[in-house]
Amino acid sequence: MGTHVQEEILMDILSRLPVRSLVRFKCVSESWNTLISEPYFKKKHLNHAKYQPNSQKFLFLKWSKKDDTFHFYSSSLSLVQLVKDIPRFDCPSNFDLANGVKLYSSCDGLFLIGIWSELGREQPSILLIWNPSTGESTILPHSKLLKQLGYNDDDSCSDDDNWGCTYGLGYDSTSDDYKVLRIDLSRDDNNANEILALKSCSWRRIDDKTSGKAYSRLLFGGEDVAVVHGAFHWLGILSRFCVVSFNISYEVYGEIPLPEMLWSLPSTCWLNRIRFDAGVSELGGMLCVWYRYEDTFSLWAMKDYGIKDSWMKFFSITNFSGSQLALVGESTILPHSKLLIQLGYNDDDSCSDDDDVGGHCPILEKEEVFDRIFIEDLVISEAFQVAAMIEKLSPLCKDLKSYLKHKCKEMSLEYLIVQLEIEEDNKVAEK
Amino acid sequence: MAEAASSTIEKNNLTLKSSYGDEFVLEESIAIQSVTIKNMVEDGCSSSVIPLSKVDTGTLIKVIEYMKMHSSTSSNEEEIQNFDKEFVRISIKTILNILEAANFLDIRSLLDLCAEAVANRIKNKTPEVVRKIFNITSDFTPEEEAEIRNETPWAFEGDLDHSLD
Repeated sequence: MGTHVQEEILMDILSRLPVRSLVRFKCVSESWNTLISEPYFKKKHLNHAKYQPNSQKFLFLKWSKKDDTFHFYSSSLSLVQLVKDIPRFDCPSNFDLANGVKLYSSCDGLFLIGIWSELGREQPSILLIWNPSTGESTILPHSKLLKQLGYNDDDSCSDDDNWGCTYGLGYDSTSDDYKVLRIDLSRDDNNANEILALKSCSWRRIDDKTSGKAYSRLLFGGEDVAVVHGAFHWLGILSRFCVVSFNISYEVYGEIPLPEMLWSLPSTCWLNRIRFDAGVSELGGMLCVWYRYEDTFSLWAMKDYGIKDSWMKFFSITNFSGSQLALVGESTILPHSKLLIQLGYNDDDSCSDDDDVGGHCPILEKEEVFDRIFIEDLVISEAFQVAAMIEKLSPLCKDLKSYLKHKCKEMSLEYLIVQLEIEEDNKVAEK
Repeated sequence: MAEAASSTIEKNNLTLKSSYGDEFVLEESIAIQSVTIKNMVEDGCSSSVIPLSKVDTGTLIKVIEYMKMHSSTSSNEEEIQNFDKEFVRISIKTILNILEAANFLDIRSLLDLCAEAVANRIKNKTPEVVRKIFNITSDFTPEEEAEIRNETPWAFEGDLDHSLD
């Protein structure tokens, strides 16, 4: 009866399975267990999953009034299923999410998450990398530098100049490792960005000299970090309003100009006390910048990376239910040339301007313009965030502690899902 | 001269021989979807019968059926998709046999189709059933197996498929 399948073929079959099945099949035999746990197999599985719409899902956070805490949910990227079928996810290592949680960044199905153990802290008490598909997580160590700068003091968050920091997670193909970048948003001259390579799992201060640090500040609530072309990107001001880049492998800074019409927007808004929000995102491998100016939300994409003239406006939404649109976060590919954008908006003006609501939303890729809008009235009472995720295997099992702090933001958010469809004549050639 | 002429005529047809000794004549343009056969043709080793000692007759018939459909210029994409769907509506063991053959013959699209089909069929199955399908005897002690299961109880929850096919 010998259907003894060659290992090569077996690997091909197994690399197409969902993580849940693979985890179950670990107990088939020792050799299956070994195969499924091998780094080579995991990479093969990831490479396959990346291009499979079925293995791509949403991960999002929602506040539950019932039990007074946050929960993670995931849903498939199918438009039909998107809103209705949202199975709940166990939170990593059963941490208590009631005091605050934030999805900073995601890469290859891994998520960088901050968890607050106390309300009102600027920085999360625990920073961890989580793989929701396998349930594995790694707690990242505390940054010593952050401690030195006094971020852990109970009340330093009241300082107006202290904007805390934000984080990005990316994959470095040169060292075959994941790296976490900590971007200091403070206006302190001693501020410094740090990087952590997951294999070594310790923070390292980025050398200003070798990295060519151009002193920059992050803007507004623009805490988004996008990973495109092997570099982290965020909005900042160098010689002017621009995208600051940081190469993951070589660890050097760069500057990418924005479309000219955006240069003066921040200062105009400041002068006229107009609300302005902006951030970076990634869309089908392209670097994107979104901004909200008055009641218009716009998204620009850089078709050819680094080429200033290739910026093009993807779309604008005006008068969106008379509300203020919030941010755009992660992106991924949605089948059938549809662009799915999830927008959080704040219809309650009690929220103060500076405390810009962290309603992170994703843009799900594809081409452009849209003509239909779906509104789901799922009402939630806290910031929520969403990110695209790919099912992925990854072994993460170190345990370390950390505590930082965070200012918890009170707000009421509504949650919208906008389905965007392409208009033939507005089609922009896809790369 | 005469020899050269006859070999050009024959070049259009190839004979494939299964492990049971059954011979199948196939147009070269169809057969070269197999990279293995294509290389043999290019190396000039295909003038006589090509023996496929690892492929039994039933499997070879299926492989030829597949190659014929996929090289046919008269069928459109939808027909091919429907054909593929029907093609893998067979027992998992048969698909595994075709996979072995497709791997040996190096036909990428057939490999993908069959590997995907097997993956789809086994993804909700229990480890016990998977062992039977792949003819594997567990080398774990019951304690070891229980330990692995306890690490990820969520992977064993829900309605699992206990059927062999």
